[in-house]
Amino acid sequence: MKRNRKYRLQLALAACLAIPAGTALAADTTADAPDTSNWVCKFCVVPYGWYGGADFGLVYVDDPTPKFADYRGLDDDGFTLDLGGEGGYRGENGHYVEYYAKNLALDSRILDAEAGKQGTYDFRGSYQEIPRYLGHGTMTPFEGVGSDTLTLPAGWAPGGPLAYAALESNRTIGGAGFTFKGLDKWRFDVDFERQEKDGTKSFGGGVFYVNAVLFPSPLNYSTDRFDASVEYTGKMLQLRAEYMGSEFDNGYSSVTWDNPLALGFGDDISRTALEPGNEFQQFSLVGAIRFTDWLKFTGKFSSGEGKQNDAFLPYSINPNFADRPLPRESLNGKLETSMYRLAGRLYMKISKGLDLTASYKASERDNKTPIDLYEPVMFEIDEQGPRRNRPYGYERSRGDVELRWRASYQLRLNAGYVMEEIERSYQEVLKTDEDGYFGEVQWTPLAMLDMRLRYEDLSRDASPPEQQGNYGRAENPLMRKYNMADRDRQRLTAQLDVTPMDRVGVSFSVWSTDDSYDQSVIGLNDSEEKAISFDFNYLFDSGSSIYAFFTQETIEARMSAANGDGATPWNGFTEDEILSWGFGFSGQFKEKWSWGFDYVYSDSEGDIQVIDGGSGTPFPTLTTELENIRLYVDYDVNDHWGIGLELYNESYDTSDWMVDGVDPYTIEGIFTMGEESPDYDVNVFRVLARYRF
Amino acid sequence: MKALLSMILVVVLLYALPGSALADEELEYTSKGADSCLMCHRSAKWNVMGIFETKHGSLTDPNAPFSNLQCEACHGPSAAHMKARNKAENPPMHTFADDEEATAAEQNAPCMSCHSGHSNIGWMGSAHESSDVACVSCHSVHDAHDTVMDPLGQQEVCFECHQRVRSDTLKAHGHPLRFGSMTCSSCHNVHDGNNDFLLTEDNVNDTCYSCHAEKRGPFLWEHAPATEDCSLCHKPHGSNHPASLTRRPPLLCQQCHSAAGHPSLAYTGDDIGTQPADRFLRSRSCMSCHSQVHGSNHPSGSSQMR
Repeated sequence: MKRNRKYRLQLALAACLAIPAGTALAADTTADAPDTSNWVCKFCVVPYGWYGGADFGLVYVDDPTPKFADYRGLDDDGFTLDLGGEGGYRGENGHYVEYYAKNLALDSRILDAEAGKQGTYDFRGSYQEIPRYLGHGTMTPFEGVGSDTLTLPAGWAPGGPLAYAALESNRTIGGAGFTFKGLDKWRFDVDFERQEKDGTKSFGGGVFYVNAVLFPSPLNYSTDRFDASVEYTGKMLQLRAEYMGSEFDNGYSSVTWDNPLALGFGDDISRTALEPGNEFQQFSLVGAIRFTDWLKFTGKFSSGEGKQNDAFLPYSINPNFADRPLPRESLNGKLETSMYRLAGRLYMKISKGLDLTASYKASERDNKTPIDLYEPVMFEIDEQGPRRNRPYGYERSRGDVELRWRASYQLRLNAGYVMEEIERSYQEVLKTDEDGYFGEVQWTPLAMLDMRLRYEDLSRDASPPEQQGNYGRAENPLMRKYNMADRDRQRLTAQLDVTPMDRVGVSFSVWSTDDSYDQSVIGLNDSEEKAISFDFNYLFDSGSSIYAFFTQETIEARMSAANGDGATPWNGFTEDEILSWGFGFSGQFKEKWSWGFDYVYSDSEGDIQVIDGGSGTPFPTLTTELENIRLYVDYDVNDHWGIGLELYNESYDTSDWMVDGVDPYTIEGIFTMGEESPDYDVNVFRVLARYRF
Repeated sequence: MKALLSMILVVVLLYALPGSALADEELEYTSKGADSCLMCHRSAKWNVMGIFETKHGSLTDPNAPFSNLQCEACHGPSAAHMKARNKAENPPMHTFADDEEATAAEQNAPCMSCHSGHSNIGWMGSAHESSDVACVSCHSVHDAHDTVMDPLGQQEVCFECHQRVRSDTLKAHGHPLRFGSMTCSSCHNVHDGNNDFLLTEDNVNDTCYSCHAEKRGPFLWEHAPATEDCSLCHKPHGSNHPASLTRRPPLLCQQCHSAAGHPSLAYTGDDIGTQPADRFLRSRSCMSCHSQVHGSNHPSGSSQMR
């Protein structure tokens, strides 16, 4: 089987790599270079000078909730400043400035700017903030929220007072870059970016056997990234050498928290490790070469190295284990990554529109992290047996061959073969092989009608599973993890585009993916995703337009599990159904007025049922309903000034049995933060004055 | 040997079959360049003058089309169109309109004559190129503001074909595309087929790490699927489930974790509100305890709880 796959790939690659003399790509029409000395270009009216402008005004928000403010930054009830703008400068000598600003007075501000001389060099800078508001009724008894030490008030006991704890974070992204293109065919780029994320998030810590405490964990991330590249762009050869370096640093290495569920055996305080800092750097070479009109190649080679060597915490914060020796002071973790890909295309002389494309890609995550024997202490009190860490590594290879035939303008056919092989280390399945075929037909019988149908049929084989040692909790020997189980996959995509008249577009689409894991007695058995979609748009002669869209999607899965080797399996069924649709209009009247509206609706339902022994009560349906109505009007007072009004309402209604009605004391043994599923109905009114240069 | 013989046979066939090369058609450029074209096409009806507010319309950049062959740099030699009595039946070489009969590759050739470098080096063989997507399918080069280059407008262009992704972005959990905090191109380089799924980095995980660097590791105790492919558990475009998970825990976790005891017990709807099953079902389910699913660097974190 394996030999057959490789054989087929070799065959196609050989055909592609062969250099058949005398083949010809469809000949381009040609013309002698004209004499342009008399080309005055008197109609070429380039508007030099400043353009664009600035917007400033107020936005009024009526009773926002954290979920509504999430990402938007509109967290204040009442009026907030609204500042933004877009524009730039265009000089006669090629110098230019461009800027884009949005939400400058909000926590979701964006500012981008670029300046330079077109075709020669440019400087660029950017700044963005992304706010998150994740706490919906979240409460905690902890003091010190936002720091790495969370303590319970003196004398506090379960059932004691709680305080609202906002779970908020803010990501800031600042960047700067420079490009020089002043040398013929050469380009140099340098970019630096710094991302910071500060705030709190909800995090869980396990305490004595299947009990847990959820607490507000501090966030203090920073990531610096540096990119540099040099590029040569010739007519026949394009080549770019790139360097990327990334360094992540976490301002907090751990969070220490008083245990509200302490048993009193030394587990009064617990400590959770937070993400360690890491470094990664990668060198890449990307290129394309066109030997002739009928033979082209493109490819990429990357080689990277990642390191992580933050100092280990001790096994336990419990002084009883203070002298428990670690095998090393830090992980000295090291990853070596590599990737190369080569794709080639041969245009064949059999027919004008016939070509063969083949690509091969190989990548590796070689985990050089040292393996040692560790003796964990669970829950700060329970000594575990010794166990070794498993530095997971992968080798992947993927190939495909595709024959494309543009039989005519009306008919296009594609067919091909794909294969993928993944080798894993320290896992139950050390190797999976997947291969299959695909075909695509695109038929355009009329200029107004375009139909496309694509079908894929893939089959994956897994090597015999081998238990890797589970340190006391052996997996069921019949378990087949879905990412490395035998699988048959059929995928269908169909699209119909109709343009019944000029300026009208109608599109129907159907997608279906059907995965079957018929060798998996325990694990995921099958999954299916189906969707249909409809789009419509019409552009009036006046420049006004209307649009509508509709998508319905179903995601289903079935899995099996059993409580112990030899036990009768039970089945779990999940089904998500999502419906979204919307429509809108935008238009102008009397030259100075423009207006429009948008309506968007999305409704999701999630059903879960577990059947054990022939019966099983379904879980309550998970629901999410989103409705957004927006109306806007713009009026140009004169050439420089304009007024914009916007009114929108967004309602959001969810029900989620996982969190609804769960306060910190509801679940025995799980001290939660009392998160609730969010609901809101928020009105927003925005008035803007627009100044145009 | 069988492979070798087959390879030889394929190559021989490719040599042997008759060709169908087109005869070159000699075309002529106009005598006055853009002035010839704009004499008619500068009226608002044609909506082309916006190009002079773009970099393509620069008269000073020696690499810009209007510093060279002007309109004909992209539309091709158009003298015949100028001279034709019925211009509709004798259009320029490329109209780039909906009824353009040139293939996507032929339409893209003028663009690629200047834009073959930088992010387009891997264009050949990429998913978009193989699917006959023309540059003008997404880019509006005559518009002063090319919608696909706009942070909010870009996704609308992408959604014209990727309609299902629009539905994903409206789901309860996902990346903030609908708020304009991210764009499709934050993760995808739609011109480069060298990376998986037209991503900006080599593969899915490296792309995720560009914002979620804290999950890169390596960690002392790794969670195997997290090191292999983030999308084994997450749907990056949007999901019904928190953290954009593909399914709800505990079933998501139970698809792989089958050890006897609490990992493999069947929990039904009747178990909500009952103890001890509730602790495995509600709040964070498995992640209430096993919160370090992306890896733990705590020496006692082998169960991803520390």
